[in-house]
Order: sequence, then C-alpha cells, then structure tokens
Amino acid sequence: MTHSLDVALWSLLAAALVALTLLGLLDRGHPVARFGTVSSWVVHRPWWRAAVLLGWMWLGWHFFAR
Amino acid sequence: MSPPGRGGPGRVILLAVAAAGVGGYCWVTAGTTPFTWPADLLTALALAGLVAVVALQASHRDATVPHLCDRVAVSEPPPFATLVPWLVVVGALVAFELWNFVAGPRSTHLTVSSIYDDLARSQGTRALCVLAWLVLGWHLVRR
Repeated sequence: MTHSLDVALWSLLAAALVALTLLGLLDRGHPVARFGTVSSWVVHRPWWRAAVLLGWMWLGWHFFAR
Repeated sequence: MSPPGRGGPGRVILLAVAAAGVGGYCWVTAGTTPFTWPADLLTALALAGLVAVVALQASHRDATVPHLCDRVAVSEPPPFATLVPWLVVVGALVAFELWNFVAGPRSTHLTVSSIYDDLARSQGTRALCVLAWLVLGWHLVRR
C-alpha cells in the first residue's frame, strides 16, 4: 500500500467520524446515535467507564509525555 | 441582570480565569519536549486532575454517577440500529490502526501516533491537540 493511499484511507475514516457526529446532531429521529448518547451509554457501565478513562490517560501520556 | 442561579459577573470572571488557565496549560504543555520531566509533570497534572474529579464524584455519589462496585446504574441503551454506524467506523479505525502498526514501516503505513507527529510540528497545533484531549476527558467524566 502506498503512503498516499494510507493517507486517503485515514482521511476517509476521520471524515466518517465527523459525519457521524454531525448526523447525530441533526435531529433525534435520525438513525445515528449522538456521540454524547454513545459515550454516556458506555461510561455508565462501571468497568467500561474505568477502561475508557484509563484509555484517555494512556492517550495523553503516550502523545504528550512519552 | 442575570437570572437567579445563572451567576453574574462573578461567574463570567470565573469562566474567563478557567479558560485562561486551561489555555495556558495547553500552550505550556505543548511547548514541552516528550521524554523530559516538564512533559511528564504537566501531563501527570492532567491525569491527577481526572483522578481527583473521579474521586470527588465517588465521594458525592448519587444515582447518576456509576461506581466500580455498583451492580446497576446502567443507563438505557440507545436503539442498536443507531449504534451500528458507530460500531462500523470505530471498528474500521481500530482494525486499520492495528494493521498499519503491524505492517510497518511508518513511512508508508501511518499510525495515529505517526500522523500526530506529522501534524503536531508547531506548538499551536500541539496545544490544540492537548485541548482536544482535555475536552474529551472532561466530556467523559461529566457523563
């Protein structure tokens, strides 16, 4: 796979994330859950909450410290 | 005049001070070099902040804040069909990241880390990344 194709696929995935976020905001009747709804549902499960928060901590440490 | 309970000039000043503090933190953190003690210290400060907020939530726990020992306190799941697009995209992201990580080299197989290294060449871009990380963390602990 070429570098350009890799960049294109990453861009596509990033655009898909943005599109889902915007679609979720459009109206409640839309068939895409809001980002806030999904994250609420995930972090209201205690072990998932712990995993997500640990993931957030690792992300910051990985990018900004190490 | 502000409505009762919505604050007034005091609240505006508090928000301005908080925004300046967060902005300053992002800028200073973005100016540090990874693998040095200032970078470790400033990142650890945010991690400690999150731990403090979670501990505070646990000590003032009510029905809306879950705890590891809770057996219930699970919110109503959204309709599964509305989650499918998220599952597909997030699954594709994870799979593509893993595939790139294993396939190497980074010059052709980009991972999120290598993309960040490319994007975050200026202090301003790095500061925005720190801000995005903080906003995500705040979003998660407020749920």
